[in-house]
Amino acid sequence: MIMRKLLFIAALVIGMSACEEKEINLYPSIEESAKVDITTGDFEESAIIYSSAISNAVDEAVDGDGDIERVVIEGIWFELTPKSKNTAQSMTVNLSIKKWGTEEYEAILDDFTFDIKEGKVNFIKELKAAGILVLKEQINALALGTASNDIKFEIEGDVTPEGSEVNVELEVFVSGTVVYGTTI
Amino acid sequence: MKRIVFAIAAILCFNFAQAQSLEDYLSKYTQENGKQYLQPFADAFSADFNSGLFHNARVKKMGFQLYIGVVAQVAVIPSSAKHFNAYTESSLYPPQGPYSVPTVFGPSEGKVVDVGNGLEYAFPGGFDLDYMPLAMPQITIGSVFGTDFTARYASVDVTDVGKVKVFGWGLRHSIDQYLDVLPVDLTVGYYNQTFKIGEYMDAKANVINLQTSYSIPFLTFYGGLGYENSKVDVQYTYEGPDISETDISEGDQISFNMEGANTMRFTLGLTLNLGPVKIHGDYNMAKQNTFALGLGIGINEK
Repeated sequence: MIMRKLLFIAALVIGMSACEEKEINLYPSIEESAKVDITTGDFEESAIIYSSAISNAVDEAVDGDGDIERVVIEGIWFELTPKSKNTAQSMTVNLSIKKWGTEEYEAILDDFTFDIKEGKVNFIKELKAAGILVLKEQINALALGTASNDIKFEIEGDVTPEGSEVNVELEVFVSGTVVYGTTI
Repeated sequence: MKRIVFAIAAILCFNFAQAQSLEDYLSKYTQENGKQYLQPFADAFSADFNSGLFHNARVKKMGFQLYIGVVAQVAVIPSSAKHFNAYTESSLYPPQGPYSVPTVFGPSEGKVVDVGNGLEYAFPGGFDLDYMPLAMPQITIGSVFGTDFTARYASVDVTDVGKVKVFGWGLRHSIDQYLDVLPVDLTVGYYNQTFKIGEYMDAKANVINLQTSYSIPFLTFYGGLGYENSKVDVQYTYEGPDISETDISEGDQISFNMEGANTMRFTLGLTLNLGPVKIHGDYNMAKQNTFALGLGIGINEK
């Protein structure tokens, strides 16, 4: 009986000192993508990351009572999958993002040439900061619930050698970190 | 890693249910950043572990002696343990840094850095703690040829983490029984403790110390000088982006071990003897300072 009381007192003291409610920030990662099939030598395609995909990813990353502060955009890249019919060796791509409320696009990548082979295509050194800023604003607006538009990319370009048959799947990936506050 | 964080939260706070909200805390850290992020936890944890093991140095040559009680330890987190130098971890560009970012005990506000061309990188924050408490039941029983035995044990099932289990044992032997001229009690002790969190964390601590005490009615003054070492093994599943430089991908197992910072420890304490009730407290000076407080029942001991 005495021992139980001693344990209770000790637990109470430690519990009270260690467990005051406090605000902390959490930083879960998110990743979303938009896919297009490129089947013509001179191509112009649209790739869309739907607003619902961003909302769902953020909801999944953030616990119920979390207070979202922002989304940090940490990476953007292509994943390329050549199909069996493809004979093109390389492609040159312009990637741009459609600004909401206008018909204008902002460039993210300008005339970037890469070999057609399966795997990740890294173009981080070629990124245009103005285009990333638009992407950042749109993802943050979706995460914070102040907009419900889709994120639309335009992918245009051509392949080498000219006249070769192109048949590739190109996926635009965007990764980031959700910064949110919660109480523990 | 999220389960480790949950387990740490469970250790730091009794409110297990709310601690579950921390599951994404460290998901983007790999070996080097993760190790440095958690190193202060290993230091504080080991220091806590090696505190409160004794509250006098009197061991009878032969006869029954018993202490049973609860010992609480509190490691004071120094400001130097709240930040570490981290580098960005990405498959898209080489590591950038170093940036001074929070450790597990650091401010809850993380750090977002500009990595160029409009992209940024977010380093997670910490728990914003100035001290780390632990508490565990302890029993000391003796004595045979001036030797007594100490044990600590606790086991708790934590949802999603597994069994959190603490076990420790120690032996100490009276030196003053051979030295009649000594005005104080003097013993030498060795303690070995283990701490296991499911499959995620496995910690071991050893300490050998020289203990001394001097008693007057109702009070026992005690102290000690010890040498200690500790090791914390960590393993978890990485949940961040792929990192080409280190060939780490989402889902890979990350494992590393950490050594506790403490080596020498100096203890000063006082026990209040209220008949069989013992209330004791001590301060431990080492690289990681700690307080220990204990409350228990002692029979045939002072």
